[in-house]
Parts: sequence; structure tokens; C-alpha cells
Amino acid sequence: MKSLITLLCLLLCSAGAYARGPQAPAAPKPSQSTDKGGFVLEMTLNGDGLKNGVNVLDLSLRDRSGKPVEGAEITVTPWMPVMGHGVWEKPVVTERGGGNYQVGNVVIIMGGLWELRIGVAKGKLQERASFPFYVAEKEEAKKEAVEKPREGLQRQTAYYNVPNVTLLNQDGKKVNLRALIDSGKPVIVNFIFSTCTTICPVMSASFSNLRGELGAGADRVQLISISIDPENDRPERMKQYLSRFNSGPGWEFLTGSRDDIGRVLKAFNAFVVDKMSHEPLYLFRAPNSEEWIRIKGLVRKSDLMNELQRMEKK
Amino acid sequence: MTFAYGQVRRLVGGTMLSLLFFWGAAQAGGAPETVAGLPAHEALRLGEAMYRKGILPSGGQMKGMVQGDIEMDGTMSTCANCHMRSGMGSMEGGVLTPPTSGSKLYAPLTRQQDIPGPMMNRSMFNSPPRPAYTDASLANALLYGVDPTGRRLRETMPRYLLTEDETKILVFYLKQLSGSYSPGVDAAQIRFASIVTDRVSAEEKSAMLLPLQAFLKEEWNERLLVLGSQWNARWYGSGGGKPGDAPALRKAVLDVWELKGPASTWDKQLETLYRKQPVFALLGGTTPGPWGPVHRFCEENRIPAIFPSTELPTVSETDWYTIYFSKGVYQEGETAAKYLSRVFELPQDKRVVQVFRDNERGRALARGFADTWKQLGKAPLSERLVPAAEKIGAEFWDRLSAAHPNAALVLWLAPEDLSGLGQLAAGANRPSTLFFSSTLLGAALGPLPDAVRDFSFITYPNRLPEEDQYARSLFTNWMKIKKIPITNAEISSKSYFFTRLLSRTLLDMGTDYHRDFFLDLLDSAPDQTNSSLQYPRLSFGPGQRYASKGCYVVTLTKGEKPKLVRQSDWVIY
Repeated sequence: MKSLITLLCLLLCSAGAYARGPQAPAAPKPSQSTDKGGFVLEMTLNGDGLKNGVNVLDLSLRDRSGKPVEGAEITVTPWMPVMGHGVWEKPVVTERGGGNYQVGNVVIIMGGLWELRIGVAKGKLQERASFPFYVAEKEEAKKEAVEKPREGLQRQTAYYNVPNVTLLNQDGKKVNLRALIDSGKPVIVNFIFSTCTTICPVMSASFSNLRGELGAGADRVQLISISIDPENDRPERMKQYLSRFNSGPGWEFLTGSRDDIGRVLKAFNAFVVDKMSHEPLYLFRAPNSEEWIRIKGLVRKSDLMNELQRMEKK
Repeated sequence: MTFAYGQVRRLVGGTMLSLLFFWGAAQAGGAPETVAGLPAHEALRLGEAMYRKGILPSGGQMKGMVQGDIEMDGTMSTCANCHMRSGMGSMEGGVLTPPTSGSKLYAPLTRQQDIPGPMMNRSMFNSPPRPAYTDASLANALLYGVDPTGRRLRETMPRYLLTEDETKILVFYLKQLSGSYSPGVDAAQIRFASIVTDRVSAEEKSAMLLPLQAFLKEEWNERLLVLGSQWNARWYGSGGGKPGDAPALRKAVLDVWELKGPASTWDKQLETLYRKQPVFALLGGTTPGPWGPVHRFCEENRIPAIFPSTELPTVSETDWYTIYFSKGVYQEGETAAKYLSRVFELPQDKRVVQVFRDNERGRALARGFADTWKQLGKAPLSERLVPAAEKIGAEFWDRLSAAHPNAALVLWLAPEDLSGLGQLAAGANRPSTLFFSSTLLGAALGPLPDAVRDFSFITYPNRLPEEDQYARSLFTNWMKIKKIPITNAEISSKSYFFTRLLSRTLLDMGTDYHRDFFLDLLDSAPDQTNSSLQYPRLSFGPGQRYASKGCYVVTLTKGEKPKLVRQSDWVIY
């Protein structure tokens, strides 16, 4: 199977068929042994193989006898052998139990022949495997153009490992961030502080307006504002801040120790050295989805409504 | 302690009148007698409420539209929120908020030089030039988001829903906002004062003043020309600025105001000193007692006072003009309450007794604890106020523990009041928990008997001894360079700390010498984690008036040379 794909890819490449190459063959479950024969890796890709853009894939890891291997350290590196380069984005590997691992944030930046180089380390064993893929040039360019955000906004797909931290909400209650995000509702996250000058009032007003638009059903979306000035933002102060924006059930303002907040900000790629240099960010996640949409820039109410509808369709 | 409100009102009135006079003179045509049918002073008052609080003259909320479809009202944000009280604008989250003070609005905005504030703000200005606003074009900007050239303003600027009269009032306010220099500034000098009292020793006085004087002389006054040309080069790139363009930075003068006698007479003395020689702001200052009378004077007269060294500041959520290091001993009381409630999780029905002496420190600690305890919704406290004449000894502890067996005791007491404390551990009514303040116990914390250390907690509002090496080296090296002997590190290091902030703030202020701008700039300072010897972190923000937000809770190991063991994070929620 592997050699067949490789051959096909090479043929296509040598024929100079990059631009309008035929649809890459679906590679539903390629499987191979690692270089020293210690493990067998099976890969499941969502959709039609590896695509130009952000990919998620599942790996199932077994040992020689076919038993699932748990607790292995897995690294995934997208590599373009012909061009001799990889990508900036680092895939994120999450262990799912039973020898299953999910790999998010596999970012492919152009069409052509790619390899997914996989390293497996468990105990003393350190082995490797490489899965070749032919990636088609972007054909969904038109579709993307439709989804292209308004000018001034950057919208992208992202994958985050939400840290397992317990924060404090505006009522002084302990809230587990992961549990809150997994509460089954569409989630919108932003980062603010109560004495922020310019962008936070606008971001909070956008949440307030979204809730106003949804009326009685406002709590069908979970809004989460995370403080980036945790020392000053105490529950009393956060409660008072929220009251200025007609808050209510479905909108949590969270603070916590500087370490915990730092972990959260780093996990969401939102860490700034000083609160004054933070950026307007909105993160959206549909229920039970691994995929986040990250928007940088100050949004309109209509942008939030569009994202909410998209999340609710999923 | 009475306060001469009448005199203060006269003082403020004087400022307001001179403001109006200046405005009138600047208009050449003379000030209008009325604005939207109101006397000018009334229009200013109403305009200020619109600008700062988002409240319309009718009493309703100002309403506007941002981002094209987001309604915003005066409770959510105000003009001052983004443009700051001074109207000098701000830069945050990649969004430059241009200045809205009269002097800047009614002048062309053509180059980065025209944007006040830190280099970062200027460098963000890359819009095409605009001519000066007029009353009519300013109204267009407020209502429709259009600048004098017809270009649309950024969507983040609200399009306001205002009547014609409301617009006139706001335009009138903006036109005079930061229109003239604040008192204490002339063509050559900017004047400051430091306050000491006759209760401050000569040694403490020079520990506070010497670093400050050295900074102003060596790092500011003697470098004015260099700073001016650097300012020029930094902002406009090499070759961008002509030597003659350098701003005329003012020489700093520091007066020392020494207050004498009882605190009730300070307001009179302050007023006399201020009348004789007005100052732009108060820097540092120290007194062993409450800072309250100075705080009130500054609040009434809108004089910034930054970083007085005091254990007894005025604790207020809304006052504006004094920035403190912390809430002093009050903050230790708060910390003990939060720790017992949220970290130690004392059972809800546990009896808690506060014991304190009837003096300023004792009362402030007890107030901090009681206010927080109540806020946390805990059961009522018992309090035992000990009059000065009453002696505390074995008998006192016996009676206290008999009256409140197995209670948690919060003991805001000094070492001399701890004799006989050790026997508390042995009795049947042994308290479950003891709490102390390290400020009252003194630096050694030694007087706590071994027998009670197992169940004693201490509030500790400073860096831990092992945490301060780096900050200490910064401070001592600086003092060495300035050739100042270290006689009182606690006081001198506080002065050192705020000279670091001052150095940046004075430069960023450029020649826009407005008190509100001075405070706006301090409010946007980044967190400071190295330059304070005493505090692990000092942080700032509009309206944040107590820069240290934390206080550790520690315990002591047994033995003659006890070690501190940290029991909490710096900040307890």
C-alpha cells in the first residue's frame, strides 16, 4: 500500500502535475511498522487524506504482538522531502487511551509530496516511521473565499490542549476550565481585565450585545472571559465589571493564580509579557469538537452571530 | 480632626476660574457666556460627567454604536476609558486612541510628533494628516464618525446618539480639556514637593529624600538636553528630527514640606504651603501616623501624590489622586481573613476573635480583617479591644480562652503584649488557630513562643528573605553609584523604586505637563517585579491605587533561629 502511494506520487510529481493533479487517492488507514520493527502504527485521517491546511489524524499504536501501547511519547513532523523543509506549526499529540493518540494541528502549507515523520518513544525503544502523502493544491480556495473574514480580522483554525486548571469565577466559586469548556454548549473565550482601557470594553460590549440578541436563550452559548490581570481582578471586582455589561448565567469571568492563568494563556497561544500589550482575541469551539476558530481583531455582533450559527450547525 | 472645607472649596474654585479665564483668553473672542443655555461652569461640570462617567446632562446613559452593530452605553465604557482623563489618548491591544484634549483636537495632526505619550503610541500613528477640528467638524466626528477631511474614523470609536445641546456641552468640555498646564509648571521648571512631619527622624528624612534628589539632579536636570535630543531621535529615526525640534523639557525642583504639630492642623499648613508655592505633584513623603489628612488635601485639590511611605494609607475604592504601595497594615488584615476563609477553610461555625490595641495600627488591621470577613459572608466576629492602660499577661490569656474556648484568635499585638502567650498551648481551651501580623511582631518574628508556633500563622507583606537578592543588588548598586549611604533600606528602597517609574513617566510626558496625564501614564506602567526591594510585584491600571496586590502567609519553625515557611501564594483570592 505504502509503496503504491509513493509510486503514484512520484509519477505525478515527475509528470509536473502539481497544479491540477488528479484527486489524491484516499488513504483511509495506512499502516506500517516502525524502522526497527518494535511497533505497528495505523493512521486514520478524517476526510480525503492529508489536505492543504490544518489536519487532524488519529494514530493507533500496537506492539509486535498486536497489543495496544499506552503512554508512548509520540512526535509528528510534517516534512516536504523534495523541498527539504517542514512547517513552523507543531502538531499537538493527545493520548486517548487504548493505544490511541490524536494528532491535531498538522498544518500543511502547500500542495505536493509530503511525509509525516513519526517518532515513537516508549521505555528504551525509540523508533521511527514515515507516512508519505500527496497533497493536492488547494481546490477549496473558492469555498474559503466565502468564509474569508471581514477586513481587519484574522480568522484561523487552531487546536489547543486546554490545561486542567481550576480557576475562580465572579462569585468566588471554583471552576474547572476544561469541564466548563466541555459543558456541551458552543463556547466563546476572550481575554480581558477589568481596568483595561480600550479593547476590553468593546469586547465585553460585543458579548453583551450577543446576549441581548439571543434574549431569553442567551445561556445557550457559554461565554468565558479570562483575566489577564489576575492580581487585581478579584471576584468582587469581576462581578461588578460584569454587571456593567448586563451579564447573567452563561457568562463566566475567571481569575486565578498567576501560574494557572499563565498556563491557560500559553495553552491558547495568548500569553503576553505585560497586560498592556495584549491583543483582541476571540476563540470559538463547537460542542464536542476538537477544532477551535481563532479570530484576532475586534469583531462585530454579526461576526459573533455567524460564528455561533456555524458552531450550532456542527 | 476637622477639615476646612470652605477653604478647600475656595482653592478649587480658584483653579476653575483661572481655567475659564485661560480658555477665554485662548479664544481671543472671549468665552461665551452660555453653552446650550447654561452658564459656562455648569456646562463644564456636565461635560465632565459625560466624558468621565458617560452620564448625559439629563441623567441618562450616553449611548453609542461601535463596530457598526454593537450598542454601547455609559456604564460599559466612557470617553475617558480610552482617551484617558487627560484626553492624551492611549495605546492598547494594538489600537491607538488619538488625543482628544482641546489643544490637540483644535490643532492639525500631521506627524507622529503630534501624538502625546510613550514612543509606542507615536509609532502607531500612520494615518494621513488631518487639519484642526472646528466645533462643527468635532460634532460630526462624535455623531457620525467622520474627521475634518471626510474620512471615516475607526469603528472602535463610538458613533454617539446625542442631541444638539448635549453635543455642544461635550464639545465645550473637550475644547478646554488639558488646555493649560497644571499648576507648578512654568516655562523653565516643574515643581514637586515631598512631605515629612516632625515625627520623622532626621535619618529617615534623608533616607527618603537623598535618592529622590539624586535622581532629579543627576538623571533628569543634568541630562535635560541629552534627554530632549534622545526623545527626538528615538521617535523620528536618525535624521528625522532637527535639533531645534527637541521638546523644552522642564527642570525639576523639589521642595520639602515639613508638617508640624497635630494632624488636625495639617490641612491649614498644606494650604499655606501650596498657596505660597504651588507644586505639580507630591513625590514620596513619609510619616509614622495616618496619611489621611494629606490624602484628603490632594483629593480636594486634584494634586497627584505618588508613593508616600506609610503603613496607614486611606483605603478607598474611588479616590483618584494618591497612588500607594499598598493598603498598609489594612491589607494584612484582609489577607488573614481571606486565608482563614478560603485557603484554611475554617468551619463556618468556628468562633473567631480579634484582639487588638486601641491604636491606629491595631484598628487598621482589625478593620481590614472585619471588612473582608463580612464581605466573605462569614459569621459575625467577636472583638476584644484592649485599652492602652490594660496589661496583657497570663491572666488575660486565661480569661480570653475561657470565654472563647478552642476559638481561632486573630492577635494584632506587638511583642510586648505577648507575655504568657505560651501557656495557651497547654490549656484545655487551647485555641485552634492563631494569627499575627509580621509588621507588629517586628522583623525578627522572634517573640512567638515555641509552644504556639505549630498553630500560628503570620501575615508577611514583603518578599521572603530568600527572594530579594536580585532586587537588593539593583538597589544597593544604584545607591553606590549615587554615593548615598544606606541608613534605612526600607525607606530608601521605596524612593529608589519610584525614581525608576518617574524616569520613564517624566520622559513620556514630554511637554504635556498635565497632572491627569502624569497619572494616566503611571496607570499604564508595566508590572514591576525587580525594582522594589520590598514587594515581589507592583502593578498598575487606571484607578488601581494600591500597587502591591499581595501578602504572604507564613509559619515559623521552632528553635532560636526560626525559619519562615511560606504557606500561601502572594495573592490570596
